[in-house]
Amino acid sequence: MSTFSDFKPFDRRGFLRLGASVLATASAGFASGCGLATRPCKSVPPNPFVSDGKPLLVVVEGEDMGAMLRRGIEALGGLDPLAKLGREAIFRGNYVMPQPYPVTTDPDFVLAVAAELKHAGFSKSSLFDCTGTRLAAALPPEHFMQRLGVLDKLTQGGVPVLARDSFDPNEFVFVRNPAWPIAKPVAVHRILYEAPIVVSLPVLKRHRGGANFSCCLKMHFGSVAMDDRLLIHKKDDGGRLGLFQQRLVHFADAVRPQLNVVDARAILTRGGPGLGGGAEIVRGVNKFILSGDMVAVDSYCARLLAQHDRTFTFDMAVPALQHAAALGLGKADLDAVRIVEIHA
Amino acid sequence: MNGVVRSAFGTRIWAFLFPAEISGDGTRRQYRGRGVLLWFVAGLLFSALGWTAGGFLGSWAPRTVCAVAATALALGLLNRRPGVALVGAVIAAVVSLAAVRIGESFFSPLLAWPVAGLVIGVMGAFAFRRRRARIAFIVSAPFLGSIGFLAGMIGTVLAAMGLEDSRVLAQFMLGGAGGFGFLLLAGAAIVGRWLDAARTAGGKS
Repeated sequence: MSTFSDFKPFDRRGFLRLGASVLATASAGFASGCGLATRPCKSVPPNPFVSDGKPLLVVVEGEDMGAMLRRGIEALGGLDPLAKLGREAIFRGNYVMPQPYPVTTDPDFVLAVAAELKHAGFSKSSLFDCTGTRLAAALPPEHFMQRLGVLDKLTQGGVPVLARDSFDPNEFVFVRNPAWPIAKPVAVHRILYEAPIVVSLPVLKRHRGGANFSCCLKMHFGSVAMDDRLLIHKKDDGGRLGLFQQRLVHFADAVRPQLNVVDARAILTRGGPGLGGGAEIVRGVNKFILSGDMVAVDSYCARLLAQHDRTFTFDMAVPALQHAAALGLGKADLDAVRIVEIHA
Repeated sequence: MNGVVRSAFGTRIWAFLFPAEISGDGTRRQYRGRGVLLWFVAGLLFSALGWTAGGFLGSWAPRTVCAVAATALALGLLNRRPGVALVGAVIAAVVSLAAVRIGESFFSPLLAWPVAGLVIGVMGAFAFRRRRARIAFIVSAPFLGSIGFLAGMIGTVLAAMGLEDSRVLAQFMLGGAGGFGFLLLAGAAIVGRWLDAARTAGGKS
């Protein structure tokens, strides 16, 4: 039996316990202050746009943007399934550089989609983008959109623009899917992680380097922190290791939009992701592709791009499509997709 | 290089950076390595903790302000002048906030770091007894702070690249903040022991 004189406030065990407690508290505070906690990927309801158990993919061809969108949405079965998930939507556009459509998403297209959502009962649609940083006065997050006139046009059109710092650790949430072969988490933007409805508005373009082409999956490079983008570019820039194509799928997995509407009136071929370096714009494609399944859309759009670009073949998109399908992001096999082709 | 030579070489560098202190009766005392190390560690930890704590208040500006204020606080406390520490922390915070705001529209908010280094240099210089030490610290503080910040930032980026982990890369500014505090207080310790050597080591420098 111990006596009072035996009592030591800091015997070895007590010291270790106290040390462990202090360390745990400090670690928790540090992890919280630096936003280091890793969460599971966001949970999203299943694709609401299906027909006979197959994901629905609508291809609308035409000249009139508004009419094409209306016909496409009708063919999808309307936006009611989306409206059940919430009344506010976040748009994801592609504003990787200050060059107009088809390098970046056309602001008129964004406004047209916003009008359709409003018509379906949505109270608010905002455009999110994450390029640039406040650490450089010459390259703030809204810089490219400002130069393109997108910021003013959308703001005046009633679509607020959420241009966020791509480096700010406060803005991002680390997520990880245990099924990813790359174990490290991905920092997805908090706005996208918490948004009940994300509508993806990609352009279709050739992308030199590891990705080969850019559409629904690749565009989510702009949804994650610049740190993740830099790391995978450094690790496998040419895509020779296959990690680049895997990682771009993980970025898309971290967002999982409910609806994808590709504006393929014109497409960027032969080069990319921007003009220059032999890139050519092919006009007159005049298609919108709508679906809740981003893998099916990419599978369709890769074939569409291959028709217009001799430097690109469908096989170049296969690794990313197969990986996305394996992770359950959608159907890469178009036989398992119900494709509706209409004219407006 | 064998162990004996390496040890002798290391000792010479240490002696150059931290000359033996001369106490009041004129006798030389052994180097106070632990005391000096305390300055290094305190600079690193205070600045890094300030940066982390600033994250609860917002983004770049509050993080920078808190890290800079914490570094100024550490310098004042190590000089055993809590009042000066508090005043220094407030002044450093206000000036660095202004520098961040100006930097947001001109060049970069990172301008706040050399500016904060200068403010801390001026505030910290009051603790030195000799004019040469004061001038040396005021002149060197912005450079030390900036170099420390850059080194910490680059070190974190390289570590993140090696680990291939965006969680580490996301903390590149934390690394910069830690480097800022580390080198600034290391500079204060070195200047104190080199140019203000008659003072008691571990005390006001």
